[in-house]
Amino acid sequence: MGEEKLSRRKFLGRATGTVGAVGGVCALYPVAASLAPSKAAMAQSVAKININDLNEFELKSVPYKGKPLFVMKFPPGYSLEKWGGTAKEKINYEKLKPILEKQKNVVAIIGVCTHLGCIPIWEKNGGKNGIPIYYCPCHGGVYTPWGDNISGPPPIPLHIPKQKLVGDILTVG
Amino acid sequence: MSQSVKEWFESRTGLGKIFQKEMVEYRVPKGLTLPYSLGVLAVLFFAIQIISGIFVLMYYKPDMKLAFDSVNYTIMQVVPWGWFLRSLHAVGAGFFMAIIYTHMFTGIYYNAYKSPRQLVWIIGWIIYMVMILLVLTGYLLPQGQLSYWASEVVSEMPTAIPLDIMEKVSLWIKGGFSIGDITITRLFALHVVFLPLLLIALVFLHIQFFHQTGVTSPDGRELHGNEKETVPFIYVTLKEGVIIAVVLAAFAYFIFFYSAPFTPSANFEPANPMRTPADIAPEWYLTAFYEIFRSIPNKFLGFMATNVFLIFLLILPILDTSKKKSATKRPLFYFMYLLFLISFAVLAIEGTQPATAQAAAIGKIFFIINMIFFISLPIISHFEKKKEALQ
Amino acid sequence: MKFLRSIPIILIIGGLFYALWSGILEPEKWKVPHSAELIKAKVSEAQLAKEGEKTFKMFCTACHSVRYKEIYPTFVNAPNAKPLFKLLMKKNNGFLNRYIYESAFALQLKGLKAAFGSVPPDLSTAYVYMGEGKLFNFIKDPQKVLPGTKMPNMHLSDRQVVAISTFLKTAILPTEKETQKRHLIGTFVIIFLIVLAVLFALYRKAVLTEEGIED
Repeated sequence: MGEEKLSRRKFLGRATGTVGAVGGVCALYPVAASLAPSKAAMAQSVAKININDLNEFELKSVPYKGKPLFVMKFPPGYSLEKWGGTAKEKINYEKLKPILEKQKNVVAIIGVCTHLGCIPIWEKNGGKNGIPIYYCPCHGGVYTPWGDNISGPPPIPLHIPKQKLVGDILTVG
Repeated sequence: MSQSVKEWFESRTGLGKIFQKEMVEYRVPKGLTLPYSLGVLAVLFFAIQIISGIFVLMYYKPDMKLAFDSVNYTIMQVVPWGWFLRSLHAVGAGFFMAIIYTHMFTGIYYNAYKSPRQLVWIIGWIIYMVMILLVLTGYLLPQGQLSYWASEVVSEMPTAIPLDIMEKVSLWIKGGFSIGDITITRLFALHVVFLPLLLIALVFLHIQFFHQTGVTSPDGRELHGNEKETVPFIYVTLKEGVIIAVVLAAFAYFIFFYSAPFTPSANFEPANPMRTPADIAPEWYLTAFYEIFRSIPNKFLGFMATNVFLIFLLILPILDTSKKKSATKRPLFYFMYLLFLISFAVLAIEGTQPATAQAAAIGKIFFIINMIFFISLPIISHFEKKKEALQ
Repeated sequence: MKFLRSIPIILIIGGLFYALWSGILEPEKWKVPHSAELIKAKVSEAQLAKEGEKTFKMFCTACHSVRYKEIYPTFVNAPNAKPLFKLLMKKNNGFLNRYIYESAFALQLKGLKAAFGSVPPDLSTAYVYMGEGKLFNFIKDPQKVLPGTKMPNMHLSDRQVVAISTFLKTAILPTEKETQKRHLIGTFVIIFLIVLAVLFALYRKAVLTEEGIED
């Protein structure tokens, strides 16, 4: 008899505790969900750039999703050999090769350092022997003009967004 | 393993001992009635206010031109679940005030202000004052028409005292000739930082003081230290679990189905410093004072009458000198107490109605009835003492 | 006996809160006429709101804005204001806050003020602060509701007025679908809490009988 009562008490105690805990967790949901970005903040943004406004190796930075988008026009036939630096990684270089051919030597990459989100600075004659590089001032990351990370802490190359050239207008997003 | 971790912390903090002593073993009289749960409920709603407050604060902008849209557009329509957070805060404030009033009224019913609990009562009274400041400063923040004119009226309140310096006090509260950005940021700072911190400290004192003296028993006997007729607090906690769940269900009803009474529609009109809305009345928790204030046709006397009520509340331990405790044992007191409640309810309801001559007459009559309760206390005490002496 | 004594107190305090929170103290002065109620019953809210937006743009935007719905007075499309307006809309995701709106179009708003005595208000929240009945009667015949107002009588049909009122409702209140969703969640929450209360009560009883404690 006593045992039965004990189990009933334990059972009720556990049931109450579980239901209460489930309720508590559920109550946290709307509070946490309110932190999620609103629909307006997540609205797809599109950047449009007229490539006739660009000069060779002059960086044009346009806003895209609240961050800078680096639009760069390369000199025709510009390659790693011509650039002259030592690049261990060629990931972006290989990826951008066909894009550059298709897009009249113009390409857009996301101008956010892959280390911790600072914005790299375009230094046209900033590298060794005056070669062009991107240099991130926060922790000294260095990228090739194609966005491959060559020294410093950045773990991966700069991101390449979806882009398409129609006529003279480059559409990103 | 877990035992040693527990000991490691316990030997360094001593918190477990305090918890054991104050929350588990702390003894309360047997047969506590439902109103004894109001204190725990008040603490619960204070916590709800703090949490929901932090989250609405993330989107609110204390600015004359931006405040209104930050509440009614950003929070209500843009932020996911923002409507829920705002309802939580607005309905929560109403529930909090309702619980505090009922807590106070039951405190009077059980004579919880008498020796040795005078300090519990006085701290409670200060908490009540701080809460009125909290709801007033919070009410101003959405910058609707009611917000604007409520803050205008309240900041003009000091001028009711006919001293030259009071004009200046009013100007200092507003930081200008009318409610402006500076007033909002100022009262905003009070609402979100100073007053809540003060309230936390006061609530802590309130709880510590009654844990020192023990709570009153419903039938008015002093049972603190009486092992036989008291039970450990942990059993009461279970009862409070039931009550909390039921009150939260009512709370949920207002949040999900019917939050209109807590977000008055007139406050959805953006503040207009050039026009006072036609039907303006304060929120229900202040309408009793409002009714007293406006039914007395003299600015200074009206202001003082409102204060007399508050001061009488504060000095209840002095007014009521009888040794007997609890309305259940004092028929005369019980009768006067009913009159007090009825008069308060009538004043509060009448205060929401338009200001007419009839409303003013009702206000005066029931204010007098209300005062009779306080004034009768020393007389009742005198009779009770006499009776006791005879026995 | 003990319980009897508390009945009057419960009645007074309960009655006080019931009166204050149930809304019985504030009877609606203005009512939506029966003919308009019939329209609301026949046509869906979404349809009426859509119609209302069109009607609003046709009759009301000479003076009024509904900023929460990205609707601005027609003066923003005048040749001298349009480029600025388009740029501001783009930069602010369609929602112009009062600093931007009132600064960018200060001249136009001043013109309206000169013509009407005060700036015709933004109507984003009008549905709530006027109330449905007052709003309907006001649009139908402004002088009847607010004698002396500068708002002209646009001679709209019941259907048009209902549509505008429904449109303004959607600017500040949740849509019917959203309201239903909230009610559904609310029902679940309330049922859950009642179950929790019952469980707590049973557990408490089990504990007390076992420990032999009367309370």
